[in-house]
Amino acid sequence: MGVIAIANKPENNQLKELYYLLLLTRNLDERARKLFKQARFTGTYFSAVGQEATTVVPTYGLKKEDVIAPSHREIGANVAKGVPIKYIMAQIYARKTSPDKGKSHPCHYGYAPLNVITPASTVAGQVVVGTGAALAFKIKKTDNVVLSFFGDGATSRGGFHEALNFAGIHKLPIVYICQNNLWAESVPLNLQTALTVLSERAKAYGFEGVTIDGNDVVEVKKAAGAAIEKARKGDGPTFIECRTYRWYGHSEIDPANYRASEEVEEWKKKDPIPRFEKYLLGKKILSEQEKNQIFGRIEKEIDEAVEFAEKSPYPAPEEALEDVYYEGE
Amino acid sequence: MPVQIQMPQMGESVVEGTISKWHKKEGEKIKKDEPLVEIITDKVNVEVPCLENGILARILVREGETVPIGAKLAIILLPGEKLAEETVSDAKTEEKPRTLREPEDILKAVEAGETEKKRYSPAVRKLANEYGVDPAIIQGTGAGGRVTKEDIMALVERRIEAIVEEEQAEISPEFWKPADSKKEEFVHLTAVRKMIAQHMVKSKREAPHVTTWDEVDMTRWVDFLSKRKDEIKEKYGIKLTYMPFIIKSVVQALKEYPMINSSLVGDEIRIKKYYNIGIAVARESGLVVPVIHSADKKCVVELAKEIDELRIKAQSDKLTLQDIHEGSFTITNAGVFGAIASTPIINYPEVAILGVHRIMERPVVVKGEITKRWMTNLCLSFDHRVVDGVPAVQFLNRVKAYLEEPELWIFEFF
Amino acid sequence: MKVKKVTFIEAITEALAEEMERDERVFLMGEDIGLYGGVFKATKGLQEKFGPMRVIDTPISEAFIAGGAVGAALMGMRAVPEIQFADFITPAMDQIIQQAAKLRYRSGGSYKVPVVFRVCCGGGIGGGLYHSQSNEAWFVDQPGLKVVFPSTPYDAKGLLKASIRDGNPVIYFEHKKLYRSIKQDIPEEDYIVPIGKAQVRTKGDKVSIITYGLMVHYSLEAAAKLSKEGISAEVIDLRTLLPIDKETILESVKKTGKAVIVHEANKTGGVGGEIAAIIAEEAFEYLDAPVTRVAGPDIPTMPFAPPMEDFFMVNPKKIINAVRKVAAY
Repeated sequence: MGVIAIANKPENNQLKELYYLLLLTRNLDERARKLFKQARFTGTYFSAVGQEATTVVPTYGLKKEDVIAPSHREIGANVAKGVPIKYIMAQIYARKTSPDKGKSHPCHYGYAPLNVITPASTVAGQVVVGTGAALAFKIKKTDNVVLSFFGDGATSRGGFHEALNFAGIHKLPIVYICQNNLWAESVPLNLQTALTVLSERAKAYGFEGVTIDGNDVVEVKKAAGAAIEKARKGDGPTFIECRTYRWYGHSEIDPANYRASEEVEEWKKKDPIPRFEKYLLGKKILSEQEKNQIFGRIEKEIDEAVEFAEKSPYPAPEEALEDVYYEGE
Repeated sequence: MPVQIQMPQMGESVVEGTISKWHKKEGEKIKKDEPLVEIITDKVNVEVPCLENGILARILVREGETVPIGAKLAIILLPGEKLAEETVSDAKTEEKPRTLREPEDILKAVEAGETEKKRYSPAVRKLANEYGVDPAIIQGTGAGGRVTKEDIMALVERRIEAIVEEEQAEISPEFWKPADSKKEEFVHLTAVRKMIAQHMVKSKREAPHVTTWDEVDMTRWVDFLSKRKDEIKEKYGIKLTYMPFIIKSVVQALKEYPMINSSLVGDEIRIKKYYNIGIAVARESGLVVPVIHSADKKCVVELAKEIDELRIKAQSDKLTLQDIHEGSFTITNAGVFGAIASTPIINYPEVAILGVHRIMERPVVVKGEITKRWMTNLCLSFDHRVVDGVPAVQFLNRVKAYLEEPELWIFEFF
Repeated sequence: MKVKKVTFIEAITEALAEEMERDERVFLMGEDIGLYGGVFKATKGLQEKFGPMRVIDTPISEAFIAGGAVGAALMGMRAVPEIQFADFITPAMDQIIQQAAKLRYRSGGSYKVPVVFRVCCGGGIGGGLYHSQSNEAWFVDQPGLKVVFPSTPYDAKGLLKASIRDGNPVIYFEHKKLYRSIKQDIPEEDYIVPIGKAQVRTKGDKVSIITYGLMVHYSLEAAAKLSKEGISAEVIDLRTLLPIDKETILESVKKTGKAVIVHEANKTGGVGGEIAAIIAEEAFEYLDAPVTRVAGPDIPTMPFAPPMEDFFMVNPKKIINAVRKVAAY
């Protein structure tokens, strides 16, 4: 899956590739949910179904050296960055072949070769660390950017405030992508903040904030593209609030009964993938035949990824002692 | 039942007391908590009260008499009791305290009054065990009369002297007097010699000794030393001998045959995970074995320096307890005095000892041809309860291999 | 070998300057460190020399100072953030504990975190409750971190250099009372002091005094006085608290049989308890007296009024009294 040389690809090919990645993310996510319900792996699983556009689209087209700083809900960003999905599965299954060798629990994906920073579970921690990475780019004077992903809840944390404040002062090359899905686990937005438009927070930090329909692939692509361009040029951060929705619970052990079923149904109608599919089919960028081919391919790829994970061994118990310290200079 | 009043424990170092005054007469009624008798000691005066209502039936110790702690002073009859003569005579015969043979200033009375069980620190217990000393008999010099490790060692030293004195006292001078003083000379066994002798007897008696030996071609080392001795002295400041290399070879071989680096304690073979090599040193006053601790962690230069330091300390009697402690294997060099082979006695409680001997140029057959080589004998005495013949011989083979092919050492470092 | 006399703080400034010269990846950030040169002048002259993007004046944002340093370190920088007073490290705790200490481990060894947190600590200078704290105990139980605490200018420079060159997050404690009160000859050439190695400052065979930081000097003063009474004390300067040099400690205690641990921080939960446990577990057979701790009282560190500050601070007299008792045991 070569996402690296996309700048040379004609626009339509890029869009088709985007469609493939969105679908791959969706199906991978749904498959993981199914596998969890079948008790094929332990722990829990944090589904991002419904939010694919907010993560896949901004990440698509980034350079290898660009950094993404996800939390536990950005499976789409990992897929779009080019992380092989067999490693994503191995991570969920906590096998030895996972990039973290089974050390972290499911959905804490990280992948150093493509600069995906492994997150902790402490909400918004990744925003601070990601901002530090952007600082490094500024000091080193490279033209790389950082995409910092987080939800509405993270904007309440102290570290979040300190990080964005600093990024604003120094015009760091970072794009803050907030997936406002109206709920931080079970806490609704109106108990999280007095604001109704989260992008207004950016004003407090001295940079631009925009609110967009996070389920409109084209709109996300436009807004993210512009923000990334701006950051690369050295013109500082942007806060992009993506209005979107999490179809399922905070994790698979959360039935999310605190949400009204009407709300869930409303949002399911705004599913980003059929909307994009319709757009592509309508503009004749994608044909029915191609669509079916992509479907078939995805099923096969996911089957292979699951097989890889299930055939991989667990790490040996004593491996718990490894990787505490770095030996060397 | 009649109550016997005893001389109480009055202060830790007090061993006896003198009756100063009886407040009641024989046959007189006594009431609880009334003063009964006044006792004086060199440290403190004590008034002993009546503990019961009754009659002071018999006074056993008169005013002005001095008796030891625990001695019976009087018999009290409780209401309704009668005095039997056995009670009186029993009380009287228990007066004499035990005589202890230890030097007097560390004597401690262990009877009446000492109800608390004594606790000893781990270091004290360890030393007490090693030297076969009972800490209970020591008057400690530590806080609150506590026995310290210095106290144990002080007793050990005194015991040696006491043994010597005692033995001398027992030996009738008549028996040893030579018929003709020109034919025999009587030389005292010094305290240290005595200790060494006892140690050796114990070792030989308990461990079935077997000695196996092998010969080692030391030509490479002889050539190396004669060629590089001065250069090494200048570069590292050490007087190089064969001993550091022998130690290194022994340590490597011990790692391969850990059973030889052990002790037999009761039914348990304790395999040591440390390599503390004792090097026997001959002195005027007798043999002593200072120990090089953690010889496996020291490089050749460090070993050479330490061997020299310890030898000097040994010769000038400056070795400390630390220097001779916790050896796990001993090497004895009889070759210095010219011996070509020997059957060394194991340094108890180790299980083996290696004797190294004179290196001599001898005719040998190498690859079918007669030639001359510098050869030496290594004699390994081992405790056959713990080590069997085969591993012993194999161990010695490895020592030989490491000495004859020092290239093997490269694998430790690269 | 050419030497020069420096104070403790000059040694620190030199170490920073030399490392920044030697390695362009090294950068500093903290409050008041740039223009002002640091509230104690530890970073004096450095911004003039290396510029405002290598000696960064930050807002009052310890969470970002710590977490941003981590993010930058992931991107190959060697970050040396400063926490102005140990008392202010608490806002940074999430980033130090959940990010710095664990990032390498949770990523299965894919990332390393070369960050040195310079923390100014310690009392006895009229600092009151919030400028006197010494909280090394909070960090020694975090595998993934290293904790160092030099007591001399030579060690201050050598350990700071070693910490900067180490690929792991290091908490580097600088006792403010030592800054200008000690001078020492140090080599002109480059040298380091290895992390994890204690130093026997003075040899003895009756009692082992195990200590670090300012207390090393008080212990040496006590040892000198005690030797006149015939009590030969061995003073061990730990220099590193994590990983602790067990070998040196145990070798000494096995020789003397008596251990006295001295630290400024309050007794309960302090590093002394950990050292006492190590001795009890691994040198039990050699002990001829209870393992004793001389430490601050269990009260908040430390009240302001001078008589109360004196009550808190461990001093040579308190050390002498304790060692005398142990020696006589």
